[in-house]
Amino acid sequence: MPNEAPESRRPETRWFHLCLADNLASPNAFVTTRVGAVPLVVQNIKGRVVAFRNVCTHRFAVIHGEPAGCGPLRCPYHGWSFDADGLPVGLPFNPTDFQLEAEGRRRLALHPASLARCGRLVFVRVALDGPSLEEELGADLFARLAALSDAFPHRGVALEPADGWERIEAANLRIHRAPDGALVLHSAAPDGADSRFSRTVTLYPATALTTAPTTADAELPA
Amino acid sequence: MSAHSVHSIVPENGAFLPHSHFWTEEAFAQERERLFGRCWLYMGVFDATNVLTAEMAGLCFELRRQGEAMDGVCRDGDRVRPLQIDRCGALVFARIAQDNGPTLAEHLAPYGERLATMSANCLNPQAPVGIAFQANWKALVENTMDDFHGSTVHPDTIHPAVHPDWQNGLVTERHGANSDSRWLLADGTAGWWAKLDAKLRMRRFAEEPVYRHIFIFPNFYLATFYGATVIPHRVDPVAPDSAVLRWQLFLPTTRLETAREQAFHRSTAAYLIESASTVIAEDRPVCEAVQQGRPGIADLPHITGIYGRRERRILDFHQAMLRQLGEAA
Repeated sequence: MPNEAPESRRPETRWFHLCLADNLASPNAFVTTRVGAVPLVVQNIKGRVVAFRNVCTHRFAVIHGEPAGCGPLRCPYHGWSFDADGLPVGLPFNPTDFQLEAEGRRRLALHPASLARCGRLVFVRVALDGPSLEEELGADLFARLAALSDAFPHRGVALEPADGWERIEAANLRIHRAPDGALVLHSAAPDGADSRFSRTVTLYPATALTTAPTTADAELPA
Repeated sequence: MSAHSVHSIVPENGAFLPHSHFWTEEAFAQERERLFGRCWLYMGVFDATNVLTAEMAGLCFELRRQGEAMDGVCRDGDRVRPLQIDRCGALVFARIAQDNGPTLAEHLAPYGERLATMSANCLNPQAPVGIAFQANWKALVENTMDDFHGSTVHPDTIHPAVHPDWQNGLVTERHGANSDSRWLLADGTAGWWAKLDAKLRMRRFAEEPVYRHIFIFPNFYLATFYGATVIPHRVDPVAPDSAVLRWQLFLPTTRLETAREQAFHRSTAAYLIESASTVIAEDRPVCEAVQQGRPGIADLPHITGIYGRRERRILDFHQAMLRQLGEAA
C-alpha cells in the first residue's frame, strides 16, 4: 500500500525518529524505544550501529531496560551477550548447560529491526520490509531534514519553542526552528511506548558555537 | 521437542505455552476456570486465628478450623462454592469441591511424605510477606525453577551462598509437574548455619547442609535451609500482568526459654526475612523484563527460546499447564 498515509498504517510498519547519530557515537552506546508491543534497541557495537528487537532469544527478557545508556548488549537475566550480527557470543555456562555450536547460535540470533539515517537523525522501524525512510518522508522533506540536522551540530541549553518559530513535522518528530538560529527537536514516544521514550533536544548551528548558551554536560565537539 | 544436545532443548511450537498466555485476559480467564478453579492449591499453615484466606485469579478462598475439622468456601462474585480441604503435615491445601481429580496425596506425589516431614518445622512463625510483581504469575514460577540465574541476578546474595561446584553440588529430581532441587551450601554458609544451630538449637528435619526447593504444581514451593528453616511460598495471580509472591518464614527451635534466646531468635528471623526480601527484590526486575519482552517476539514463531540443563523444570511446568488447560471439565 505505497500510497497509504504512514500514520494510518500499523505502527510496526512505520518509521520512527529515535535519536541523533551523536547519541550512538561511542562504543556500546545504546538508545531504546518501544513500538506497539515491540521493544527496540539501537546500539554501537565495535563501531557498527545496529538495530534489533530488544528481547533476549534465550528466555525473552528485555535486554536494555533504560531509554539510553552505554554498556554491552547483554541480557540482565542470564548474561547472554550479543554481537553486531545479533549472534549470542557470550553464553555463560555454554559448555555445561547448552553446548551451542555455530548453527545453534545462528538460530538464537536477535531479530533485526530496520535502521535508517537522514543526516544526523536516526530512525527505526520494526518491520524489515517496506518503503525506505526517504520514500516514506518524501524526497524534499528528507533532504530538508538532512540539511537541517547537519547545519545544527551543537547541543545547548534547552529552549521552549515560541510563537513565530517555523514548525516541521516528520513521523513522530516535531522540529521548531527559531528565527535567530536554534532548533528544537521533539520526538514523541511511538504508539505503545510510555513517555520515558519521548525525547527533546535543542541544537545550535555551527556558526553559533561561540555564542550559543551551553550547559555543563552538553556534548560539544572537541 | 527437538534436542540440540543432551544439555539443552529448543522446544517446538506446541510444546510450551503460547507467549500470549502471559498477558491476555482470555488466558487468565482460562487459568482461573481450569487451573485455579480445579487444582489443589496451597492455603497456608493455620495459626491461633484458625482462619486462612487466599485470593488467586479473582477466586477468594476462605478456610476455618474448628478442632480437627476444617471447612471453607470459594467466593467468585456472587457464586459461592464449597471447598475440599486436606493437609500434608502442617501444610493446608484446598480445591473447589469436585467429584473427579486426584487426591491431595496424588497431587503432591512423590513429595507428599517429604513435605509432611519438612512441615513439622513450621514452628515459630514470622509474619507473612507479600511482594507485588508487575508480571504474570508464570514468569515468577519460571524464575523460581531456574537454577541458572544466580551468578547474574544474585551475585552477592544466593550465588555465593551455594556451593560453586554446581555440577556436583546441585541435584534436581523431576517428576512430571513437581520437582525437588537441592543445592549444597557453600562451606562458609554451612558454617554460618552451624553456628546458628549451636546458638538456637534449631529443630532439624534432616541433617542436610543444603538449600532445598520443592515445587508443587501450579504455584507452590517450599524452600528450606540447612534442614531446619522452612519458607513456604505461593505465587498468587492478580491480573494477566501482575502477581504477588507470598511467603512466610519459620525458624524452628527446640528451645526458646530465656529472654536472651528469644531476642537472638527475633533478630535472626528479622535478618533472614531481610535477606530473603533482598533476593526477591533482585528477581523482580528480571521477571518484569520478561513480561515486557515476551510480547515483543510473539509474532516470530521461530523464536521459541532454549532451555539448558538447569532449566528443564520450566518446560515441565509448561507441559503440565498445557495438560491442565486442555482437560475437559
